Parts: sequence; C-alpha cells; structure tokens
Amino acid sequence: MNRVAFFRFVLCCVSPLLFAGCGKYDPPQFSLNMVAIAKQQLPFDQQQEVSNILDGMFGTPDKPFVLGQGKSIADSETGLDPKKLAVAAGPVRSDEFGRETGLYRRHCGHCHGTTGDGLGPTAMLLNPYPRDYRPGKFKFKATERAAKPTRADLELIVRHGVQGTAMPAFGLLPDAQVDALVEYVKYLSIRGQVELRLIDAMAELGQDEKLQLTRANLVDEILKPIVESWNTANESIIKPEDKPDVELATSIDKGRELFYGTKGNCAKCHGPSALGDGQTSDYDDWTKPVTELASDLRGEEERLRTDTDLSNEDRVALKMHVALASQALKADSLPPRTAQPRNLRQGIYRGGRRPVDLYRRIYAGINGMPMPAVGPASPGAKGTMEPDEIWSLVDYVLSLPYESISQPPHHQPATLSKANF
Amino acid sequence: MMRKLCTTSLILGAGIAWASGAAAADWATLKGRFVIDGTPPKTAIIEPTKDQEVCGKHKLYDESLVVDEKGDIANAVVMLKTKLKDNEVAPDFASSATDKVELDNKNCRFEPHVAVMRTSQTLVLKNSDPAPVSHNTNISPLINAGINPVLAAGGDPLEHKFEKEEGLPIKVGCNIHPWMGAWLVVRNDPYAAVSDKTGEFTIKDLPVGKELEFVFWQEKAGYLKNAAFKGGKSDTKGRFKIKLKPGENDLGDIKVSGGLFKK
Ligand code: HEC
Ligand code: HEC
Repeated sequence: MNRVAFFRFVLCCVSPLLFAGCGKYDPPQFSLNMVAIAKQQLPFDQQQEVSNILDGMFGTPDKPFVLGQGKSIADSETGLDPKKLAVAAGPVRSDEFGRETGLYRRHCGHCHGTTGDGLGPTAMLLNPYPRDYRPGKFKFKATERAAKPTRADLELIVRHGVQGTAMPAFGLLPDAQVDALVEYVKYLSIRGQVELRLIDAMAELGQDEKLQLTRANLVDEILKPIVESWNTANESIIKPEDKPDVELATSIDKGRELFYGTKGNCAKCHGPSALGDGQTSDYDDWTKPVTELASDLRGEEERLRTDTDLSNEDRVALKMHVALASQALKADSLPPRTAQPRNLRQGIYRGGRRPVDLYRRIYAGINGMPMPAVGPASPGAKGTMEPDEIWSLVDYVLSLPYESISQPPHHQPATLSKANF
Repeated sequence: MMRKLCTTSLILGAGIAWASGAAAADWATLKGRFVIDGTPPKTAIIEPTKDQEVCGKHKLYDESLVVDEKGDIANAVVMLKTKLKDNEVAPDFASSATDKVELDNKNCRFEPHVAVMRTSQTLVLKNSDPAPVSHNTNISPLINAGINPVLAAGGDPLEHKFEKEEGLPIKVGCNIHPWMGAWLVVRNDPYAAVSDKTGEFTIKDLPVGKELEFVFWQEKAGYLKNAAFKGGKSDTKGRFKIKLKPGENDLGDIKVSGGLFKK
C-alpha cells in the first residue's frame, strides 16, 4: 500500500461527512454493531470514530472500498476483488446488456441485512435466524472448528442452501454471480470482524488514551491477521483417514456405545433417544452477546431503582448506559432463542449428508454452537476420539433415521380424519 | 539464575548476603489485597441441572464474585499494561517459559477459576470428574481462534497453545454444564496475577525504577475503577501508574466499591 492511499484513508477517518442525501436516492449506510458497543459501553465519540474508520477502510454498501475514487487502504490489503464486489454491491440494477448488479441486496439482504448482521426485515420470522457474518464464524465447512470456510465451502452453501433452514439454494445462478456473492460475504465478514476488533481496542484504551490511527495499528495489528485467517483456510481442511474396513453392523454398534457413553457424550445434548431434547437451555455464540447485555441491563435497572447511595455522577453514567443498552437490544438484536441440539432421527443434515460431512461435523463440532469437538483442540494434537471411533459415530448417526422408533406412525386416511370434524 | 544465587547465598550467611542483596534488589515485587468497600452481595447457590448424581454432591455456588466474610475479594486480576522489551523481563522467567498450565474440570467446576498463562506455555485441559461426568471446555478468545473439545470422564488430558496475547481475560465455559465458568489470561510477559481467597496477589521480579502501568480487573465488575490503595487510586479504566523500588512494594488494602458488583 502506498503512502498517498494511506493518507487519503486517514483523511477519510477524520473529516466529517460533508454532505447528506438531498436527492431522491438515499444511499443505505452500514450500521454499527450496537450490541457490542453497548456491552463495552463505548461513549458516543468513540462510536463515531469506529464508524469513520470503517467507512475509510471499507466504503459504503453502494461503494465498497470507495470504488471509483481510487484505491482505499483495505483494497490492497484484503486481496478481495473490487470487480466482483462491484457486481454484488449496490442497489438492484441491470444494464442494457442484461448484466445485473446489486446481487446481494436482491438475493440475500432481506434475510442477512445490508450490513451482514443477520437483521434483515425477514429475519425475525425465521428459525434458525439468518447468519450474522460480522463475528466471522461459520458453521458448515470442511475446515477445523475455528478456521474460516474455504471459498468452496461458501460456494456450496450458496448453491445448495442449508437443508432444514430458511437458507435457500441458489443453484440456478451463473457461476460468476455465485462467485461475486461469496466475495461479498467475505467482504462483509472481514469488515464485521475489523469492527469488533476496533470496538475492543477502544474499550481497552486507558482513561486519556486515544486510538492511534497508524498503519501499524489499523492494518498490521487489526486487518492483516483477519485477512490472513481467510487466506489460509485451505490449509485447515480436515482430511479424515480412510474409513476402516469393518462390517457396517459392527461399526454401528460401536457408534451407539460411543454416542451414549461418556467418551462421546452425545446423548447429554441430543437426548436419551437422540431426539434433540438433552441440553436445551444453552445459547449459541451469536446470541450470547445479546443475553449478556440483557443481563447487564437488568442489573443496572435494578441498581438505579434500589441503590440509594449512588453518587450523582454514577447515576448519570448508569442512566446513559441503560439507555444505550435498551436501544441496542430493541433496534439491533432479535429475541434470543436457545440453541437446540438436532433431532437426529429425522435424517436432515444442515452441513451435508455425505459421510465426510458428518465426520467433519463430529470431529470439529459445530463452530459457534454448543456442539463440541471430539477431535483434538489443535490440529495434529491428541483428541478425545480416534478416527475409527469417529467413523463409527458417523455410521450410527446415519442409521438413526432408519431405526423403527424414528418412523412416523401410519397416517389415518384423509377421509377418516376429516370425519372427526 | 540471579534469583537462585540469591537464595543460596542467604543460607550461606551474612558475609555474602550483602552481595546477594544487591542481586535481589534488581527486581521488585508488587503486592496488595483486594477488599470490598460496602456490603458484599449474597452468593447464589447453584442447583446442577445435569449429572445431578455426581454434581449434586458438591456445594456449587456462583463464582462470578467470590468474597469472604471479611470482604476479601478472590479472583481479581492484576496485569501489567506497559509493554516491556525482552531485556526488561527478569531472566528467571526463562526457566518457566515452556511450563504447562493446567485447567481442570473438577467437582463440576473449573479449577482454577482464573488461570494465567503465557503464549510460550501450553494449556493442559483435564477432567478429574468420575464417569458419567464428561465435560467440554469451550474457550472463546477475542484474538486467538476458539476451541471446544470434549473431555471424556477418565480420558487423557488435551493440550493447546494460544499464539497471541489477549488484551483481557477470556471466557471459558462448558456447554454440557452451563453453570460452569472460568477465565483465562493469555499474555506475552509473565506479569499478571490473580488474587487468592484472602484477596491477596503478588507479582514478582518486576523491573525497578521504570514507570509501569497496571490494570485491575474482575469478571463481574470489569475494570476495577476508582479503587483506592496506599499512595494511589486506579482511574476510570482501572489503571494506575507506579515506579517500583527494589524489593517489596505493598499497595496494602485495595478498596473496591461494592457498587461495581451490583449487576
Ligand atoms: C430466506 C432467508 C435467507 C436468504 C434469502 C439467504 N439466506 Fe443465507 N442463511 C439463512 C439462514 C436462516 C441461515 C442460517 C442457517 C443455520 O444457521 O443453520 C443462513 C446461513 C448462511 C450462511 C452461513 C452458513 C454457515 O456455514 O454458517 C451463508 C454463508 C449464507 N447464508 C449466505 C447467503 C447468501 C450469499 C445469500 C444470497 C445469495 C443468502 N444467504 C440468502 C437465510 C437466508
Ligand atoms: C453440548 C451439546 C452437544 C453435544 C455434547 C453434542 N452435540 Fe451434536 N449438536 C448440538 C447442537 C446444538 C446441534 C445443532 C447445530 C445447529 O443447528 O447449528 C448439533 C448438531 C448435530 C448434528 C447435525 C449436523 C448437521 O449437519 O446438521 C449431528 C450429526 C450431531 N450433532 C452429532 C453429534 C454427535 C455424534 C455427538 C457426540 C460425539 C454430539 N453431536 C454431541 C449439540 C451437541
């Protein structure tokens, strides 16, 4: 990245927005991660600063990377392709040759939100809620638990959707469009991760400290490691050892034993009959910040009501935080729902039904979800289970929908049931 | 090295003690004791919702604030904020640079409740509980990648390293037993400590004569702001600056306002 670009970027951060929409088209803005901001109790000036830095680094929903105004700082550092982003970003349009732009807003935004926060207008009605890309966590992928998805993983999700959820399959889109959409998901995710890091960095500042807007701080410390984790996802693909050559029935028996035994511990969450009714009171990683903020808020409201020795200064600070937290919860989050372990008797696998998909799910657990890993904590280290044991679990899980108790009772003939009314 | 010389020479007698005194004087110890200023809130008892046959036998309570009847606060964290150069860290620490730091799942809780490790050290995750109590240890860092391995009852311990320093303690949980919680401090330098059940902490072998900034933190309150101690007070971000003299530097009682814990 050259000097000029960096100065332009810094300028962008410090100069306030000089014009606001006076024409007909009001360009959409990215919204701030208010739940994280309220949790860290960032004051208004620091919120503004986070927003300015992000605009300087990533541009706006219509002009990612300040496209058309020369290269911005993130442009050269993220390795993202501005041409692909230009196709996915912006308002829904098509030119005289029928070339479409604004693909994200057309196909994804109403669920995943303009900012990729999972807060689109349809989101509230869905269960599970659409993914919030901002923490950079994805569930269904070929890589180690906390590693990023590969490009191929994301393409698979977009083409095939997530079975059993509202995430549709976009199998009919041309390759180039899928490619552009995947690039844009990465862009929103990297942007969201940078935002979270900035919020944390602000919160870690001392009383009179200010965040240094230097290249070392913003690019080397914050942006680069995030980009690096995306660019190295291919190195973290879980490659299972070949399935051992044992008879299926034997393998299923072993898998059953592991599933209900203390080594697998699967039944603790998935329930004594694998119906998904074991541990049902936990939350996933996208919801935890919301429940934690809600609990902070309850405590603070209680304190305002009952603590009679509060100093005036403390009272004012508390009231401000109560206002910030209630607003964030009301406007920038969805009602928390607990994470439900899957009913494994239905034979619906969100992350794919090939044995290798299930192997990876069981080996690494499901990122962002309570479901833990029976494989090692770090690649190459020792895990709780050996590969042959994981394969047996795969066989057992795949056999569950065919056990007799999984089959639905015979339906009454339609005429008969109607006669009852 | 220096340190070992010093202890042996103390045993050897007064003649050499003078020389070793100079060696010990190269480094400083910071200590203090966290006490609550106000009435401690009541501690909530936890009724286990899973594995009651085993976990029900242990007295489990909410550990997000542990205060004894005298008001001593356990599990408060003190960390050095100032970044030191390698040669400002006491050479003694080299011998523990690759030590293992244990985090056990024991009696349906984590032990210790706050673990401190360096990026050069290895975390060892253990499960000491009897069957059928298997655990998982879900660690959610802010900067490093997270992990969540199953720890089977009777299974072997698992090992993990974190590459990067974390600015704040990071959260540890168990998804099978959601009441279980712990914190992990991951640092490049060895200068962090956790208060024990009498509220006391000690950080040894700190550099002398240089202005150092420290921060006080506790999981329920966050930064321990405006905590008054002998000769000073933390600021609104729980920080304070101090120039240490050789030998012991005692902050005495560090008074933390009870209001900070009312959440
Ligand atoms: C009708 C609502 C809806 C639309 C439209 C939609 N999604 Fe999704 N999407 C979801 C839901 C719901 C999930 C969460 C599935 C889950 O958690 O199991 C999801 C999850 C995802 C994931 C995360 C998968 C993972 O492994 O974690 C990606 C990536 C994604 N969607 C991309 C897209 C893209 C790109 C588009 C537009 C082409 C799109 N989605 C359109 C609802 C939608
Ligand atoms: C701490 C709770 C917990 C434990 C223990 C657990 N799971 Fe899960 N599991 C879940 C949750 C929650 C989901 C749902 C994930 C989602 O919907 O995103 C899930 C989903 C699954 C799925 C569905 C994957 C897909 O693609 O749809 C399979 C298969 C599965 N678990 C198998 C297992 C096996 C085998 C074990 C034991 C080795 C196990 N689980 C242990 C909580 C758990």
